[in-house]
Amino acid sequence: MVEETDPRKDGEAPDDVTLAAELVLGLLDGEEKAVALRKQLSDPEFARIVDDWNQRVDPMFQEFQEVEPASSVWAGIESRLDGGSSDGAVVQMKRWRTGAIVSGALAACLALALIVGPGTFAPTSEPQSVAVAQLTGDIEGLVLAVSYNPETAEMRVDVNGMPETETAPELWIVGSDGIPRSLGQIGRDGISQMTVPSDHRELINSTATLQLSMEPPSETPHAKQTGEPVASGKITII
Amino acid sequence: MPQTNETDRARAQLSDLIGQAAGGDRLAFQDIYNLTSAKLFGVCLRILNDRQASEDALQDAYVKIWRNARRFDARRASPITWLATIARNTAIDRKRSGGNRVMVSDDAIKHMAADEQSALERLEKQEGADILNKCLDSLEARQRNVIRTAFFEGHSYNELAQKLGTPLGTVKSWVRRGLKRLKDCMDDG
Repeated sequence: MVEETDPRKDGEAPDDVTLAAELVLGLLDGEEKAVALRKQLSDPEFARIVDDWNQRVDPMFQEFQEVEPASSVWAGIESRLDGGSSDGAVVQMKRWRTGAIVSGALAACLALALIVGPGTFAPTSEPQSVAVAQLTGDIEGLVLAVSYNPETAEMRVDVNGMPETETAPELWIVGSDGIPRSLGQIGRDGISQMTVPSDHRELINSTATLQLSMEPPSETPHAKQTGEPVASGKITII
Repeated sequence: MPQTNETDRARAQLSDLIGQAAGGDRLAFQDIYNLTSAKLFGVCLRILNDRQASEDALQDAYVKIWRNARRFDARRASPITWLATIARNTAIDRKRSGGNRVMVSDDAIKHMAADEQSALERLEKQEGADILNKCLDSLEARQRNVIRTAFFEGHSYNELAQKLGTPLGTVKSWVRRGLKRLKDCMDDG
């Protein structure tokens, strides 16, 4: 049998239609999967291509046989439905990175894409679960992609398109009690990386909201926001 | 694609239940579970091949469904596909985080062959599947096999390459060529 390898294409990034299909089929893992999920959030055209592939493969789901699970499974699910507990104290946290502070202006529309998942940090190990959220607000062209690895508590924020301002972007996590807790100020451009302190880790789940506010530059996280957040959105575990 | 009235009704009912669950209605959520858990468990079991791991994955999947119910969009996906996709992705994540590497398995390859033989039956039985199956059947056998195996067993490229004992680049090439032909064929209707 003739091998059908095409060495020119093996290492190449696939086109969007192929990448979308690979995401849908589950062929990707680690960083490749995180990148594709991020693209699904930030690129509506790519998201539409992903939807198209989901529809194409949809009939294959009919082939899975039905099997009754044990009756104990429902009880286990039900006990987890009110999970999102969170305790209160705002904990001091090291500031992980601040970009250059320069003057400028806020504009009209902000989209913040969030990905929480271990794959981004450990491409060699497989992701356990991935969460995504899309935040919108008032700064045009800004895209933030946040990754979180629950195993190592590493958080990474990738910032693109932040306008120049005298204030600094500060990230907040809002749990079910509605109180924003600062995760610290982030870099204005490029990647910021940090370890989330243990007190804040349990807040990072699908009941939480992430907010971005513009604050006076500070080496330590603020206890309260000084103004309205410029962007917010829910975290989703997928 | 034509749907029977019964299918339409079932779909609308399930969509409504997901909408109610999104609003915090636990009874609606329990109805969703009762209607769909056997299907979703079948999905988990096929991918994980282990009853306990599949029940754990099923629990995780329904907790995700509860938390994300408001994100369901009936215009973008059928409700059962949306639910089954969450179960499939949850099972795949659990499989890959478990560290159980996939070994080359003759059984699995026989299983693929058995699937191939039932292609005609599938065509007759399954509503809405005719175009997909016609187009899958038009692919080269190895292209069809890697795509179907990836879907039903939830394998990554690396796992497929290990399982088939075939170089990664070759597997990628089969999948990508197969996907391109599949899309061209389905777009032609």
